[in-house]
Amino acid sequence: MVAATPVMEALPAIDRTPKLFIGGKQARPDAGYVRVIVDPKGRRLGEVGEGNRKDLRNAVEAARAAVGGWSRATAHLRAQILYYVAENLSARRDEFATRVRLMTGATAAAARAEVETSIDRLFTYGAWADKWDGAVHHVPIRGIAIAMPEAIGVVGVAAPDEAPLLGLISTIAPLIATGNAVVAIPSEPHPLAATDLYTIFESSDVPAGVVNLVTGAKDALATVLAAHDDVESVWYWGTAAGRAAVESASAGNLKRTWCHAGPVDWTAAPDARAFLREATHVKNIWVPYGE
Amino acid sequence: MSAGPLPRNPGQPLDLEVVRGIRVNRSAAERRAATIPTRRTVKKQWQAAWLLKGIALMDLTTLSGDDTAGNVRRLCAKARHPLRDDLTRALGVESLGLTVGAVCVYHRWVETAVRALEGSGIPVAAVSTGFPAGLSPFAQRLEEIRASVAAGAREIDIVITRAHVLTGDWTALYDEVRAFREACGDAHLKAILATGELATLTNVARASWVAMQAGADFIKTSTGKEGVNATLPVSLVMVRQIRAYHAATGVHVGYKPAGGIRTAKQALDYLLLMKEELGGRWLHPDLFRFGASALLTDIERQLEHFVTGRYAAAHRHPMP
Repeated sequence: MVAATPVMEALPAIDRTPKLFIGGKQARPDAGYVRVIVDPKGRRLGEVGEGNRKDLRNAVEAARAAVGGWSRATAHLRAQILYYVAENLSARRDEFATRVRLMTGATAAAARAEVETSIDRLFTYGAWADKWDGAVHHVPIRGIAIAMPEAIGVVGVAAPDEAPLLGLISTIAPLIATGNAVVAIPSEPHPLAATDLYTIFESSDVPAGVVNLVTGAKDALATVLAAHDDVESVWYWGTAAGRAAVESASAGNLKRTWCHAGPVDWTAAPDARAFLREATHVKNIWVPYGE
Repeated sequence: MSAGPLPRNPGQPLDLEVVRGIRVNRSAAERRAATIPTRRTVKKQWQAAWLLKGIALMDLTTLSGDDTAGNVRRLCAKARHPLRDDLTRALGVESLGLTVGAVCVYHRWVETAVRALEGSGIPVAAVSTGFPAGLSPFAQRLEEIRASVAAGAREIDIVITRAHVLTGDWTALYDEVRAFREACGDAHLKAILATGELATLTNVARASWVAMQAGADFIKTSTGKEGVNATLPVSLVMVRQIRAYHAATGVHVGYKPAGGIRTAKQALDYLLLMKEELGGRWLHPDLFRFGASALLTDIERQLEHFVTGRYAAAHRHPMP
């Protein structure tokens, strides 16, 4: 059962199975297990579903089914949807700030700042969606080459443990903006802000399968994503050991990885271009001129 | 395949009293069917073996308006060689010479498919009676069957006139299927009942029985073009009729679910249903087929997962 927190205490005290977010639906974890989430003092805050490799498999199937339509949608539409996510998060800013404060033990001001920055970041990457343009290059023949950034496809994200809301938003927003479908593993110690996001995505016109969230043991899950042949890229934030496992597991299928060990200050403005570059690959079209 | 050849279904005179006596309890059928996918299914090497079985029982199908000789030939190449060589070797099944059960195409592509499958022993099945609605003139439907047989089709998938079922005109249905069966000659006849358009399970059961009495070698659920295609409750009803027909006459009639079977897991559900309801003899290609196109790729992916331990991608397998 979900422990009483200021966020949840209005709800009647009945058993609720904590869910994962797969294919636009709240899905029961395959194994039926949960993990208990505690605050920094060890007090029980709630539970999340314990995702396993089958849940990831289902999430990747859902992402694969969604990515075709999402990557072909106009950048303008993707921008509108990200703005809508930002607006809906903004409407629930107090609730999310409380959640972040209770989970991480941050001060009220810091928790509020994390939520505000998350909303800003959604707007920022939403605005980027139709501005991450390609280029026309000079080439050493008579002609030009057009370089077009395109979505990579299905991307796995092991989100940072710190800044549980902002870290997740900062990593998945650039991927969504550029037309990828995401399977994300939220912060392992503090996943409750991510599970609160399910209803935000549900009510923001995000097509089913574009965002999938699987809570659980981050490094083990990230390694499964890295080994999965149908995932085109994996982004990882966490420990050096977790990073090494992801890079090693990805070697068998030559997928792209973008891995980071150690904590990051997510409140600082990120190098958005670096994220967008990693979220896309470039298609070059050579256009030779005749006489 | 150790099973010996079976005599064809010669058919029987239509017995309207039996047909009208057939009733199906929909709730009971749905309840029984619902238990099948919820059981612990076969796992590990047994699962791999069942999936290989699934490939051998597949009518690899393309029935699209945009079919061309090129994609029919590609489908035939896939039918001869359904599994990547590295997987065949890793599974140790090179000696099986695994192929699919048949290739199923429109009449227009029968010759193309027959030529592409030459020497492989894989039969070509044709959908040849004004598929999918089956509403073209009767003489033309018979002519289409004869033309398909002449072009080399060894199996003919016919569609029944749904109106005969919906109006309870069992004699008309019997005569229609009987005439199709005669037009088929030595080619095997699979009767497509289009169960998604028959409204009730009782209609499905009665139509199954009439088709079998008229001499169908197989009864098949759907064209794949109806709103609802193969489902487990419908399958349960149809295989129970096959069982009853076998009990009454000693004749084996085959079953072919088609349409909407896309995943390896679904395929295993159907195989389990056949094994439980009719026994192992109905798991041979002469008595059971899947009508499918996307299913093969999913089976390949699951077999690759079994071999490598990693989840597989569809684009790493040759297209069917």
